[in-house]
Amino acid sequence: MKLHPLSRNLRRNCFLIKLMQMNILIDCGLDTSYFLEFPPRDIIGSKAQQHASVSVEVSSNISDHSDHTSSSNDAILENKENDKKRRKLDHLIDSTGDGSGGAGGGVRRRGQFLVETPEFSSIDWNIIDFIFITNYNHMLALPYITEYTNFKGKIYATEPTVLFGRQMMKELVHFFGDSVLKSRTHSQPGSTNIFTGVTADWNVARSLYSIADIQSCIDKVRPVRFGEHLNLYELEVTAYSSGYCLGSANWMIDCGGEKISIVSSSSTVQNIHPLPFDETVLNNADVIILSDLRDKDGARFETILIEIGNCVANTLKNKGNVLFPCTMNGIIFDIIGFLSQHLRAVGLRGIPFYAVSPIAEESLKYSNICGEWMCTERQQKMYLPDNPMHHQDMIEQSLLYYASRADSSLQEKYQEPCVVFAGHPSLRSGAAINFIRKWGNNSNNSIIFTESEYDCEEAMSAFEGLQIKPIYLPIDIRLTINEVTNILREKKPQHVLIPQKIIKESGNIRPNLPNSFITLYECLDIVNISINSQFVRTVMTENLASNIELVNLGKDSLIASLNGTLNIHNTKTSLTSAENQLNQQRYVCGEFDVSKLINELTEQIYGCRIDEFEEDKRNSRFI
Amino acid sequence: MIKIIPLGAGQDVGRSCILISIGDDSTGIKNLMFDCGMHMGYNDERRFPDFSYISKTNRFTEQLDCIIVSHFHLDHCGALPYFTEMCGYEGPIFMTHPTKAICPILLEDYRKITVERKGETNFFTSQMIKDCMKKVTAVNLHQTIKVNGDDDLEIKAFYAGHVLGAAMFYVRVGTQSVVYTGDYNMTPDRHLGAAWIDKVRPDLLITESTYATTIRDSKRTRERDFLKKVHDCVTQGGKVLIPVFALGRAQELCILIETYWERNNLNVPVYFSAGMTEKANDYYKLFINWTNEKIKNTFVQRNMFDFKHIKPWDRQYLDLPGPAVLFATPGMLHIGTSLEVFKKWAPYPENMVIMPGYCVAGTVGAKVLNGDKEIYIDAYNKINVKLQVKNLSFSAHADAKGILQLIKQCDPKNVMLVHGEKAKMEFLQEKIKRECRIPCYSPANGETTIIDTPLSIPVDVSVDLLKRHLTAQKLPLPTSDDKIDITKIKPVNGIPIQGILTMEPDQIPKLMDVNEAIRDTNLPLRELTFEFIKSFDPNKIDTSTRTDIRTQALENVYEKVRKALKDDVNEVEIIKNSSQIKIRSMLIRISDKNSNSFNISWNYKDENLANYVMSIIDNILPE
Ligand SMILES: [Zn+2]
Repeated sequence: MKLHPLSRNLRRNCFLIKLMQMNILIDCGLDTSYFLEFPPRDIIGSKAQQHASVSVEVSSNISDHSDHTSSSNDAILENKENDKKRRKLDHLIDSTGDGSGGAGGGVRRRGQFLVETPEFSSIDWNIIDFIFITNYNHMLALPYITEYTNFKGKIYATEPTVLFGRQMMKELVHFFGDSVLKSRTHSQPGSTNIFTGVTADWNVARSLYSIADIQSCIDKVRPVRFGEHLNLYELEVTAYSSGYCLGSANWMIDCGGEKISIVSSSSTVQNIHPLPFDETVLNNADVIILSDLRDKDGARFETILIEIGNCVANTLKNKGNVLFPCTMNGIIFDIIGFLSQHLRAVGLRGIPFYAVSPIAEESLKYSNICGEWMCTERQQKMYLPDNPMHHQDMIEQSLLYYASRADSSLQEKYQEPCVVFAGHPSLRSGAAINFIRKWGNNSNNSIIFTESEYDCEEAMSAFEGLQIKPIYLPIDIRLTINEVTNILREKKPQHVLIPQKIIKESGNIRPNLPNSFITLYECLDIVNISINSQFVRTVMTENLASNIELVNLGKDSLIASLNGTLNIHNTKTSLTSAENQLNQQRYVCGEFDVSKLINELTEQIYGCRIDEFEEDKRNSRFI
Repeated sequence: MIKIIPLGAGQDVGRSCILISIGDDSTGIKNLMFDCGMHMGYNDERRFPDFSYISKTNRFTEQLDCIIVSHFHLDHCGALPYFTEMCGYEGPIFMTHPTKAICPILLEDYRKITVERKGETNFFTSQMIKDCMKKVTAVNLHQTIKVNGDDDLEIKAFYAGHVLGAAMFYVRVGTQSVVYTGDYNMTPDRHLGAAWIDKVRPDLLITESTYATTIRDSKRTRERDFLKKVHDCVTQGGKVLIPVFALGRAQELCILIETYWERNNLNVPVYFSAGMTEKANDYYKLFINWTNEKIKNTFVQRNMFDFKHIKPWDRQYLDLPGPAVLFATPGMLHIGTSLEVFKKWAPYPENMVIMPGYCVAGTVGAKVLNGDKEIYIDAYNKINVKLQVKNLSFSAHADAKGILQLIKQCDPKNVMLVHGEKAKMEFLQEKIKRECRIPCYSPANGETTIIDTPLSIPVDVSVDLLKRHLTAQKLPLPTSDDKIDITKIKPVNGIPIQGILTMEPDQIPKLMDVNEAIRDTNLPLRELTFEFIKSFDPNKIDTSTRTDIRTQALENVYEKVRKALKDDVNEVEIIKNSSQIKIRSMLIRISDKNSNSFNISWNYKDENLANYVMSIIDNILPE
């Protein structure tokens, strides 16, 4: 087995696995962390807002630091500085206006956000047989593959992953997509070049795909369910719940008895909505590939939740409003449910919640029909039939409203004080910006960051001098390396593969997993693993068995040459009679009695000669 | 060997309960129960299956490995609480999530009618229903479940249409397998999709045969017919009564009426008898994933189960003048609202009753369908039936065509018919034997059927050997399809395999590559080479040109052997040059010493092939 990690961002998986003659891609995450380095979308191209106080941190990857100037107190100068900074930040923008600028021809238009795909340039898409997706956070680069390469394989993901993945892509394009692209006619595979921009050290920054690309891409994904054995040629592939979000999966690939587990974003946190982590995926695994682990220990989930509850209650009591910049899925469903109960418990009744995102309605409604993908308590509610998602009750009781934008449709039902959930968590686009502008100058209001993905301070740094109170309470429910090793110790896998960057000192891991070989991998490594599994159980038919001529080797050991047909059906191999006996190979084994052979041969055939090369060939048997 | 005893549904509709014993020496014998239903036609002990067939001493838990319930209809699950709570079965029970949700509602309804209205005692209680449901394990479609953690007993559910959550079950024990269909529908309807199963090639398919002799006209025609009848009747000022079962057909017909009313702008009131209906619709809303694609895809914009035109029924509407349409439960007119309304509306010829389902003999519904003009409900009450009676087959069972279609889809070795009327079954049984050329059974209740399955012997195959053979078989991937089609992924089949089988006392035989056997088991293998001088009569050689006679003979041999091997053994490489032919270890070369002769040699391992080739040579080169 070969493993080839392709993503630089630890939170965005992408691995190429070569297994026998199969080429498999696990996940294709899209790195959107660069968003923080661009100015918020409502500022771009808007002259009216040129005076807005905007300061953007110029950061490492995209621009050089050499002519970084500190901010000035002079307002006019500051504006000029900001302009300069932004241009510097957007160094791919062709400032000359003649379209000639930019290294390697990678020109970024004004206002265009770039994202980073995994390193795809070395991949021959023709030979990729399968793509397996672990959860919707790791699939946003999929349209680049399905719509712009000659990939012809099959893609598998769980039902909720397909649904929520489509929503996330839609949200991304709504927030950061290039309006020019919307009118673009559907592109032909192979025209990858128009999407590739250039950054200093990674030749993969791209502009976003279009809405049309998303549907076409999603149509190509086959939805599966947990515990469903997919029989793909000689592979048996199964998704098991990873406990992280609705439909989040870890995959087990069984390749002729050798088991490879792919462990992605997983969680063992109790009392959250998804179906719990299923350890079956680790049972008898030969190789376990770990990814998307949490790099630091944090406060307990329950503790943070209560802290969030208190912050929200305090803000509301002071007649302030609360803004959660977030993506409308995952742990936010638990936060909404918890907050609603918490506020009622502290006597704050009837405070309206607003979910504002292009995917808010879809996401809230779809999640409620995914009861089968939820923990036991929520399934019990579904059986009653009650809504397994508390937010559906809130929608029915007019306590939670959804809107795709912060516009007149929201205005009708809008009242303060309130709690708003709005995207995008990077604060670079979406309704979150509208609410920051609206509430920014009042210190009674709070903005609570619960997402651990984007650095909160960097996100806020685009908005200077605001009175709104920022509160950082990031929730990260992923497994830490210590939690994983505790689970793995019992399972005794042969090989464990861990991302290098997650481990400060691998010495700490090895003693905890004494029975396993530990390999640390880095992006673009090629890791070779040989698995030493020996035998796999199968069956042979009575018919085949009856035609086998057994030879006794003494000591009750029997031996035979077998010529049969290997069938694989429904993951089960079986051996049946050979269609042709001519293929059968025969062997002579044991001691060889030459004189006896000569005697027998000469009795039957005239004129035969036997050349003897070794002396002591006696008592041999033909098999 | 598979042994089957129907405890119910043998040559009968109702009380589905089928026992099977399946397995061999290597797996042990597993006993399963498919469905645990009650019979609508009986009020005595005959309403439940006779469980004493399983154990005379009530040791059911020891005797049965599990119970599988196909769907929520009472004739499939009605005896479950009796069996678990009153007979003491404590083993596992499997059903789908919607079945688990809806089943207790129907059981409670059934209990109420039996105990509260009919005054029976010694019946299961509400608490017993709850306790019973706690023992149920809910399964997802296509999820493979290992029952009791047993690798040798797997079950897997497939979509069956029919009603929300209905499933067919595939059961595999070692190499033996059975499919039980429960009730199913091969044509999609307004709210559910069509049944679908993989080509699992079971040893036995147990299928329902309710409509064994019917070939129904197209769904569209039936729908148009239904709507026209309803529309005509209300246009004339009549009232239409549609007795339905609360869950299932009701929702389909409601969707039909709702869309028709909307399209034609009708304002004739449509009612649905209260009680379970709203709750029933809630189930449909939460289990949208089990309905059809169209409803699933549009549910965010519009939930098909939020009916605008259909209002809850109130008893005081009974005497209102003017046209109306009423869906009322139950479907067989034996009790409840449907019977109450029927009594009121039956004496007027402008009214109409549409019977969309199947009625058990003896019920008022059956008498109405029979065309009875006077119906006695009891000794004192008689109804004069003057209204129009229409029967529309909307019952979601497969018809004869559908049953044959399913047989083709899953490709069983034997078929057993259950859940049908004896005479009709016999007709279908003959048809299946004739058209599919497979044995077909239709046992009566209590009758044992034994089906022989081929014996299979477990073998441990070396992973090395398996991989070598699988890798050799590079499989072509389907070329670029617009739509991903799972059916195009075919299992690997029929790969010729060669190896050495070793057997030690009390161990499972091992199959490995010959080199592995030498290495790992110190197999004393010997080389044995045969050499043979074949002379031939030059005058008997077919010669077309004036080339050297030996070259010509070699050419003739090459052509014949190549052709023969191409037909009989593929993958054998034949190499020829001017003086010799090489086939594996076999070498045929023109003799240096003797004129008009070949030196032929081969290694003993290719003895079979060599013998075959020699016979060809003898044929074309007579001495
Ligand atoms: Zn049924």
